Formats: sequence, structure tokens, C-alpha cells
Amino acid sequence: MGFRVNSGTTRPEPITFKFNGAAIEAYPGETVAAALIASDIRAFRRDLGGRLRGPYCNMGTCFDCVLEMRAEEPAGAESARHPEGFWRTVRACLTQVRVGLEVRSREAPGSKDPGT
Amino acid sequence: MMPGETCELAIVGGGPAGLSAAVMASECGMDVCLVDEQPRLGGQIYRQPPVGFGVDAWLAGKIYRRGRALLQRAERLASLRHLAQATVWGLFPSEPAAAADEAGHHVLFERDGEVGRLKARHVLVATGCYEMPVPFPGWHLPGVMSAGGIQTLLKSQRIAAGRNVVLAGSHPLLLIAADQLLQAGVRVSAVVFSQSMPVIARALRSPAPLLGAFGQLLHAASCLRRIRRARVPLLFGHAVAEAIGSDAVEAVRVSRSDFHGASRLIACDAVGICYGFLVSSELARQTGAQSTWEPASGWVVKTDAFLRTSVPGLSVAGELIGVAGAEAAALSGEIAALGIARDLGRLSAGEAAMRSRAPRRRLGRMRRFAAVLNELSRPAPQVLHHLATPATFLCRCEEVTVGALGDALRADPTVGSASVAKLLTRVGMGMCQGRMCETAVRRLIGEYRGQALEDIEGYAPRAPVKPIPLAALAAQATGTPLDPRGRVA
Repeated sequence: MGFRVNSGTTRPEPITFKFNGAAIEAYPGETVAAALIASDIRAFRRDLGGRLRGPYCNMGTCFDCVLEMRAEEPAGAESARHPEGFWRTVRACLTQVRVGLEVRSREAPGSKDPGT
Repeated sequence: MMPGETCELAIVGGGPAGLSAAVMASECGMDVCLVDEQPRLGGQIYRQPPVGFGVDAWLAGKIYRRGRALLQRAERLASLRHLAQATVWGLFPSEPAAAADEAGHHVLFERDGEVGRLKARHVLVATGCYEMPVPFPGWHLPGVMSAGGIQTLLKSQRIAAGRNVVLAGSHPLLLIAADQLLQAGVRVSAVVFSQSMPVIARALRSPAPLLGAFGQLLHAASCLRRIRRARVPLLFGHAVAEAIGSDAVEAVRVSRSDFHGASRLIACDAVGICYGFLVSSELARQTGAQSTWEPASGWVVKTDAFLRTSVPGLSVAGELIGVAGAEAAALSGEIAALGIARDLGRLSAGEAAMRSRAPRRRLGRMRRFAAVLNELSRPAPQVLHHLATPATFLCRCEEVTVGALGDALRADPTVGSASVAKLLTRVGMGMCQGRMCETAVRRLIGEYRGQALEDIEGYAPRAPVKPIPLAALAAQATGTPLDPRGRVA
């Protein structure tokens, strides 16, 4: 079971994001992978064979932690090119949590999402 | 930064090599852009906590003093452009017809779902290394990670991967990771080394090169002392032969590393594996830069004395010239930057030679130490052979087992390279682009063909070296923004 180490650590005010529809508490600056592990979610997806899978390298090399994400752009932001957002595949270990972020497990053919 | 910008020097990678090159190049008056996948500078070894976090003991200890100072200097460079959270996926030489002062490379990157481009006169690739993937039964289970992955979660995110961690492999990084976990109050259930004590003692008997990195040895020794004091079982001559669990790892099966005798189970909810490192050289090799296989480092890029590759306008630094650790990486970054400054007319040949003399001498010392350490840290081939049982996943992405590749190799005796194995079995065809399986695939082919690993060809490194959305590429190429569904409008 993963957990946040609190000794000698200060964090900003928490926010929530969504993983497969469920609200997950996290701290701005955390990666999606870290926040899920801290919430005791180690399985991010099911693979082609239906097995649960989670992150391995935590540095963008293995692509085991891939998820789909969608984020609301802040209103009036210069980069608001995709106002409604669209789902795209990202590495959870390189994606930071933020308000309005939704992530979901990727669908592999014949697999079910791992739930929360 | 907007796509299409230009700079004199583009550095890929914000670890010690990239940082020291950035500092040196900026001091020489170059206009530098550093591109890195992480939000903050530091690479993996100096991976910083997020902005807004306070971490009291971040990289505490003498051994990190030099690294912290380097990071500070780089962060204070007013002229350095830092393109964060961007993944460089390809380097392309500019048009051959271009005038000499127009020569250089296009650096193609992906950032937040969009493709961008940067043009640079010279490119320095300092993309570091990753833990050598070692297939063993159950290594695909959630909770089984690289030891460095567990370490960076803790170091930068202050998150423990589990309550009960087992660390296993053959590299001294396991001691450092165990020590950091213990200090954070995480229980370490065992640290398992595949080498026997006599093997380690033999390697340490050649003291001359070791003196070059006395600080590192001292640090490892004090980690070891604290691990022993915490009564963490420290097993030598053993290996984690299997990770067991239904939805995630629940225990590991530990055997003697000669795989004789009884094995035992150790309960855990996280496992960190480190059997040494492979250089992350695919971006440099994708340009056609020549490389050579070194057992303790992987595909090391061939360079001259100023770390220029066989491709004009492309240099490498850090682990790409052979895994040797952070301090050596920083020194090589300096040397590479001096060479580039010379090539771009910022320094005279004499000045570059003179200024590189001291770092070169120190680098030589560090590399002699690294050679001993790498030899000591390498797993025996029999250990890797025994771990990869027929049912073990060789390719984690495409879920191809050791047995499936074995069948293909038996069925067609002409299969002799990783690329052909890929066509037949889909190994290496997944999102990691073969980074996680290539070495094990080549090792297996070598075993079947009675050839040495270095004689087996790997996958051809090609752009994009990391997967990018086709729509993002199309949008960049046509200058058309994506529609809300992620398609080219």
C-alpha cells in the first residue's frame, strides 16, 4: 500500500482529479502516477491479456503507466485551443495533477477497466 | 517557447551532464535551450520536489553537495531557455543545401499533446540511462518497479511505493534506495543481491581505481551500516525468482542465485529491481551516430575527445559515453560544451584544449572507478538465463513470452536479429519502442544461436523514438490546430 511520507515534507493545499470517474485527492505538483499510488491504486489499466498493470520505471521510459487524460483548459487561457478537451494517451508518471483533470484506463481489446 | 524557434545549442536532458554543459556553454556566450521531459531541472539523480513542496532532507549529505551546487548554478542562468515537460522524439539534420552557418539540426518534440520544432546549430544529447530491464516471472505485476522508480517517487514526490518493500538485483543503488526508504520510515523487508560476498570482495581488491571515488564508497558503506542497524535482511548470492500476487504483488519467492536448494517467500507490497543500467542513446543513434555495445552500459555512442559523434553538429555527454554516474556525467558535459564552443567559434582551439584538460583528467579517474563498479554490479549471465522462464513476459508492451520467442527461434533457424524477431513475434513493437525488451531479446537469440550478445543486432533506432499522436504530427505539419476531438480540423 503506497502512502505519502509526511515527515519533513510540506505540501500545498490539496485538489481533486478524477480517475475512472472517482475523485482522487492529490497535491498540485504530484504526478498522476504518484497520486494514484498514494491512494493505493497500483493497477492503472488492463493489458491485452486482461492482466492488471501499473507503473514500472516512473521516468517515462517503460510506458507501462499509460492512461488517457482530458483536461478543461482554464477559461481565457492563451492555450485554450481545445475548449472541450479531448482524450489523449499520456504517461501517468509525466503528467501532473491539476483541477479539472480527468484520467481513465486505456481500453485494450477485450479488457475491462480496472475500476478504482 | 514557440515552435520554430532557433538557438545555437540545444541540449536534450536536464540531468548532471545537460546541466553542466548548459552552464559551461552559457559561460562561453552561447545561446542555449535545454529540453527535458520533467517539470524541473535535475534529471533523475537530482530530481527535485515539485514547486510548492517543502522537503527538508532533499538530497542531504556530502555526496550530493556538488550536484546541488550545479543545479543552483544552472537555475540561476538568466540566458538559459528551459523547455520543460517536452519529449524530444527526433533529430533531423537541416537541408543539405543550407549554407555553412545555416547548418544544424531540427529538434522535434512533443509537449502537452502538440508537436513543436526547434532549430539548433549544434545538439548535445544527454539523455542518461535507465535500469536494465531483467525479465523474471511476475515482473509485470503492479507493485513491481525499477528500484530507481521507487527511489524517485520517494525523493521527489515524497511517496512510498509500499509499506513493505523488497529490493533486489545486483547494483549498489539498492543500498542507497534501501537507506532512503528506511529514513523515510518505510519498512524494507529484504535487500537481495545476486552476487555472493566473495565476488564482491574480489572486485574490491583492486584499490587504486576505487580511490578516485572515495566519497561514493564511503556513502555506500554508511548506507550499508544503517541497513544492518535497522536489521533489514541482506541476502547475497540470492535472487528474486518470482513476484507473486493476483491483482498486485503480494510476495516474492527468493532463491539462491545458482537456483539450487529451497526457496522462500517474503511478503511485500512493492518490489524494486536494479541489475545495472542501459544508456538511453536511441535519440542519438536515430540520427545514424555510430555506437558500440558495452555489456555494462548498452549502446554507447562513439565519440572523439570532445565528445562529438560521427554525425556533424551532434555531441553526446553523460551516461551516453558509458555509465559512470553523476559526477562523471557533469565532467563530460563540460568537455562536450567546450568542444561545441570551439566548433561554433566561441573559443580558440588552444583555449578549448587547455580548459578541458582538468575535467578530462578527473573524468578519467571517475571512469576507472566506474569500470570496477560496473564489473562488480553486473549480474552473472546464468542468473538472467534462469530468471527468464518460458512463461515470463519478455516484451511487456505486446505481452510476448520468453517461450513464444523461443518457439519462433526454433521454428526458423535463420532468425538472428532483434528486428527479425520483432517481425515474427511482435516483441519490441509496443509503446516503449523496444527499450524494455531489446537486451533480453538479443540475449535469448544469442543463447539459441550460440553467439555473444554483442554480436546480435538490436532494433533499428528510428524517429519517433517515443510515441507521439499522429494527429499532433499532422497538425504541426499542416499548421492546423486540432479540433476538440483531437483531430486535424
